[in-house]
Amino acid sequence: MGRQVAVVSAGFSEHASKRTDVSMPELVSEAILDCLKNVPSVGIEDIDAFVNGNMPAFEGANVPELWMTDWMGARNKPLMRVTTGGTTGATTGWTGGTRLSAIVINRHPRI
Amino acid sequence: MEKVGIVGYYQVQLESESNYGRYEVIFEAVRGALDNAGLKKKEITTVISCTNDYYDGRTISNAFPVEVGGAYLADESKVEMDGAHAALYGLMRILSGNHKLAVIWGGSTPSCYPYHSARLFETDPTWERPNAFVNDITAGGFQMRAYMEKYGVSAEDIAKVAVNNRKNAAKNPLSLKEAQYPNLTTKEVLESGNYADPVTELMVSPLCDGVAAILLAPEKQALKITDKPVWITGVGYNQETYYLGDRDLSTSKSMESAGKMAFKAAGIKNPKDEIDVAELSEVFAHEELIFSEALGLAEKGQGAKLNYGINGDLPINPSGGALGGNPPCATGLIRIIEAVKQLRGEANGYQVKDAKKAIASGQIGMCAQNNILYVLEGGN
Repeated sequence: MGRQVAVVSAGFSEHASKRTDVSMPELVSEAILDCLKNVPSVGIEDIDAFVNGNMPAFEGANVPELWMTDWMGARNKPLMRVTTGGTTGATTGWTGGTRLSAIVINRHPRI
Repeated sequence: MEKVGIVGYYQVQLESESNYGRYEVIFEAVRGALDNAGLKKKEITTVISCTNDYYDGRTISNAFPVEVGGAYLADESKVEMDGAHAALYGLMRILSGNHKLAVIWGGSTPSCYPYHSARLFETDPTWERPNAFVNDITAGGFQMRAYMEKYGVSAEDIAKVAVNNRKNAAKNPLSLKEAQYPNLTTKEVLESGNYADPVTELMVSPLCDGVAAILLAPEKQALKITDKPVWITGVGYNQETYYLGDRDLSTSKSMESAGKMAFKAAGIKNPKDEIDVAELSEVFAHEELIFSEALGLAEKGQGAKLNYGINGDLPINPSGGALGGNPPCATGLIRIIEAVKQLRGEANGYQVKDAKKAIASGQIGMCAQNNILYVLEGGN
């Protein structure tokens, strides 16, 4: 195992059987804002990189990470999407951990 | 950064309609990469695939080619962008210290699905999709027009890129046969069918079936496997905003940021002088000029003045680039492979002299909203 990483915050959108009041990117922004709210010392400007997990074929928009770019706060920042079916959620978390382990983020000059 | 090497590669022959099944194409690519490195399947520790559910016409498209991709009982995952992004995840997995040999494969077979219809699902669902005039080709038309208007670049200058790349493609036996034009002229490019004014047919990268695969290994293993590893010394990746109306299409902000990030990692201060060869994913001819300007290889609006032929000051796309065949999800990975061939001196017929440092890029999205750039260096 490489460099150890920790989860410092988590956030959720409001769950309901049908959220007819928001679009998909707006739903994502709810979760991101909630996640940031739980760690007051971290702002969106502190985020170096993003990992998105989404099943585009389930919802009718291809390359959703590009659609959601601004709603995630990911404009002009490194972003990658993983998509593995029902396991996408856990895959996304693991990918974020791997990325940090590898220090493949913006502020480190050696990748 | 610990060094990570590309130790094997394989690209299948690009065909507009491959007469064998998609699983066979994937198997050929992954098996070919393993053979290229002299390795066995049991040595694979992780597999990162790159397919797109829309392009494959089925959801969870990585669930089906597990065995042919060498992922049976291996730690497998899928990056649904370009193969070049999948290579990024493979790189992360190696650098995290968890893996010793990563297989990265990407590709698809658009002869089996309507690619341009699938790409309609990439447009803005609220503002663009209901207006059927916005699609991947017309977006390229907006981009070319914006670039020409802003810098006073002529359509002839852009047609010259198509001529150069399609002539180069004629020297590359793996490129798409229909894309090869050994005696093309700018006049023929400008007079080919009108796709989305000012984009003409020969300025658009031709769709084709194709799969590519590479193998990544950490430094110690890489040196054991091959005496000609190619090192990944820098990666940059980035995307700009989504809605086309909010973007400046005459330039590529995302490629500019990706370039800055990759060059910083690789310690490159003056890319124009330090890079020996570039392989850029140009879905349209004009994108090659926009990218080379964004990367600082030329001043803004001056990309056409670069001497980008195989024997030029800075050869761009000696393999023919995406204009020599564009298999979705494999195009960027093929650019990496072509850069590796140049650095290993294995580009028979289109070899650039004394290539030591190369860049390779991949893209996704409308008008290349997202770009990824690799800096690769040869020698051990």
